[in-house]
Amino acid sequence: MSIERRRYATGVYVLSLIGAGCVALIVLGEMLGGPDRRVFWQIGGAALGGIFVVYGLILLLLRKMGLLGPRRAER
Amino acid sequence: MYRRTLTALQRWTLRLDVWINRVYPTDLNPLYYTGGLANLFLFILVLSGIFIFFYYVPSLSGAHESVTYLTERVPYGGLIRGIHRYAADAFIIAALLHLFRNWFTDRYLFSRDSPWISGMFMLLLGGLIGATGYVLVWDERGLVVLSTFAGMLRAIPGVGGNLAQVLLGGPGVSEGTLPRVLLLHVGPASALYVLLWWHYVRLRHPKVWPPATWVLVSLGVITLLAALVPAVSGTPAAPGLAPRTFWLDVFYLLPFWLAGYLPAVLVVAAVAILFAAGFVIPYLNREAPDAMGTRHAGVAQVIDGNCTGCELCYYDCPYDAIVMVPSPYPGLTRAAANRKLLAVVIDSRCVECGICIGACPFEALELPGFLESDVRRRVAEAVHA
Repeated sequence: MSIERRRYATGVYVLSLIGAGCVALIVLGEMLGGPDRRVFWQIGGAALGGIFVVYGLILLLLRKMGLLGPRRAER
Repeated sequence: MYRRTLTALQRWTLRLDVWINRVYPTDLNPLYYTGGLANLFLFILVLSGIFIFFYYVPSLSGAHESVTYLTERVPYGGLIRGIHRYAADAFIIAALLHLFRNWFTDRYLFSRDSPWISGMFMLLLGGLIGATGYVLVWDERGLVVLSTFAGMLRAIPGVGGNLAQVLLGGPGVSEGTLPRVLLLHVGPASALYVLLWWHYVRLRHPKVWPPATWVLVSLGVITLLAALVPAVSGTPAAPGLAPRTFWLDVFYLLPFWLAGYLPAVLVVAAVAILFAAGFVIPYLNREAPDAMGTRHAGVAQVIDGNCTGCELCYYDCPYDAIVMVPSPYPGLTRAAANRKLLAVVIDSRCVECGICIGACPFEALELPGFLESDVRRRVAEAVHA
């Protein structure tokens, strides 16, 4: 595995860990959030946004590693 | 001067592309998907708007309260409101980037004038939808925006007074005002999809949607913003009381800010001139046919004896100018003898680009003013020169 690919793979691992953390925060927000504790809804919402960003970046890194797309006809 | 400036801007746009392509895979360059991103944000706006619509009460006494209830009491209501708020800004940013990119790279001329014109209408409607959205919150800012809007309408000679009355539902703010503003918010939003159809109808391979990476990142950034910097309402609107200072959204409320410093009639004239200029841009730069060289090559013609009905030209034409019809008789060449389809060029759509000539391996298409023999002659002249 080239150094560059190894760096991307490390990025995917780190992002996956952040994603797992986001899932925990979403659960926390859902369990503790309420009209009088809106800050937990905010935390859950931010974690939801975070997980979208993380998954998007994982897709980007997989693409840069050559594991995803483009379609064969476009190569 | 205009042409030179555009050429310089085109060079900078392409340099930016090259720079971004070093960071991202070429097919993921976000600047290639500004139109798709605008469409994505519009989709997010519609979905979040439907959610908000269920809670909104369009009355003077209930509007502000209903928005506050949505933001503070409904689970994740504040988040959805924030997503609606930030997606609106993101929509305008993506649409403006899309506009400038296509302007600078000359992708608005000839048959692309209809996407340009439909895009200008969408921008105009987008501005109206955004401004009315601020009024619907019915806080101090909403009241000022509404009053300024009514003042700008009144500044229109002749019909202005009547238009303002139609907007307000009477001579001033009344119970009929907010339902009308809500209609002006939701109605044009539906019209945007009709305009989108017009925007896409002449394009063969429009990038309607960005790649999954950018869908997720865009949605994520908007959601993060909505959670970390929540959209909040100001003090409830109180007609008759002087409003305090408040923040103005530069993407939607710039004309309303200007109206605080300039006469309303000047602001209306400036907005009208800006959009009128936008509408005529595709027609400013057209050269005389004689100066257009190969562009004055005549509409592509099908040599129907040679056409095999293979559909290659049909798939390659970026202007949707070729259709395939059932062949009424066999072709003259051996390859065309058993054809089932025949290519037909729609004259009004052809821009004489010659792409179909390159796509056809059977010499079944030609540009009557620019035949293969002309190309050979030009090459020979160039070689001898």
